[in-house]
Amino acid sequence: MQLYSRANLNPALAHDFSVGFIYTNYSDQSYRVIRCNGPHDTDHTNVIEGNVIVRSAHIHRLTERYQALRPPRQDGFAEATDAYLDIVGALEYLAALVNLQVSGALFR
Amino acid sequence: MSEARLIETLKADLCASFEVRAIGPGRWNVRTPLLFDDGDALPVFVSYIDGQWSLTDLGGTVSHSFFDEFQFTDARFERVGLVVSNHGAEFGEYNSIDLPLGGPPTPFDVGIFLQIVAQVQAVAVTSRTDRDQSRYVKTVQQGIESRLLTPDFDENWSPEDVVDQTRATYRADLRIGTSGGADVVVFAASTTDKANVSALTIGRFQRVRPDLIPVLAFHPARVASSAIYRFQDEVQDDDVVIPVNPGSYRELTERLRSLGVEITEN
Repeated sequence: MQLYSRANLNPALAHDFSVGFIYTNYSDQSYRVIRCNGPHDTDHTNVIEGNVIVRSAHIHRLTERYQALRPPRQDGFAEATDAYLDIVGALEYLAALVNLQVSGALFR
Repeated sequence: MSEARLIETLKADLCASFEVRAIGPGRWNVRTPLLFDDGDALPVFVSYIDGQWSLTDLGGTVSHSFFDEFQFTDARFERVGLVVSNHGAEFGEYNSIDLPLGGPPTPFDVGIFLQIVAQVQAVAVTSRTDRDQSRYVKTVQQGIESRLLTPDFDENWSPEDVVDQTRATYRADLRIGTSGGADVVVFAASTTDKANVSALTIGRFQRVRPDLIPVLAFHPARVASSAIYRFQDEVQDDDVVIPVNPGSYRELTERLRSLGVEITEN
């Protein structure tokens, strides 16, 4: 499992961020299991359900039904959330969600 | 459904999938049905600042396409830069793709911009080989290191004489000291290119350190046999190449043990 975080380099776009977990199996196949995204300025569309999340923080999750799409969209499903406001909050929320105990400061 | 009905429905749905809305002073978001594979929309923004019209992605393409990358290499950005400049666009300060316009954007300008974004996304897809190679190296390094019974090892190692005498970078992925005092150097290759470079590198090493014991761990499904033969020919030993699937190290550890490396049996 790999924990990653990324943020737009433009300080004016600090709301464009993503933190998440990527699982890589022994066949070197990677799966984006869960990702907490910020309220970036582009929309998210759940192509199966047809609903659109407009400029809101949202959480992507790996689902069986989206993996079954052709082409597969492994973490194509997302739900809007108000559980965090910034990248630090998103990382803390993700850590709590997956029972990850953080030692020390996440960002220095 | 009749043909006329199909055309009418699809046309209406396509039109509805496009939208333009203001998101701030001098900035508008163009929503299209073109999505990243996670369902997030390709970023297209109209910008009007200081009398200059442009289309920009606000850096969203690079950050989104490479979000599961852990190494932002110069080569990747060079490829992205080539794609961007080929369409008359610019690669901005914050990795943004910016397309300057002579006036307000037309649908064709938006179409061209979407092409650029999609092509930059393709660079990320074709970079997976690089990512897989670096991940394979890391996996093999960790697989060996976690089993070593000696602290005498180095990652990304090169003999001092080679460092002093060459301008290019020649590295083994792992050097391990043996109980007999010799050094084993391990190369991990999940691409044919890496296997070829490893053959070149061990040749360079052995000119100054003929005592080095080489091992090439290669991904059996991804490395061409010609590159394996090249490595064997270079060191004049057929037993130095070991097929290693990630997570399966038995053959490799047995080989390392036979060379004098202190390593566990599991």
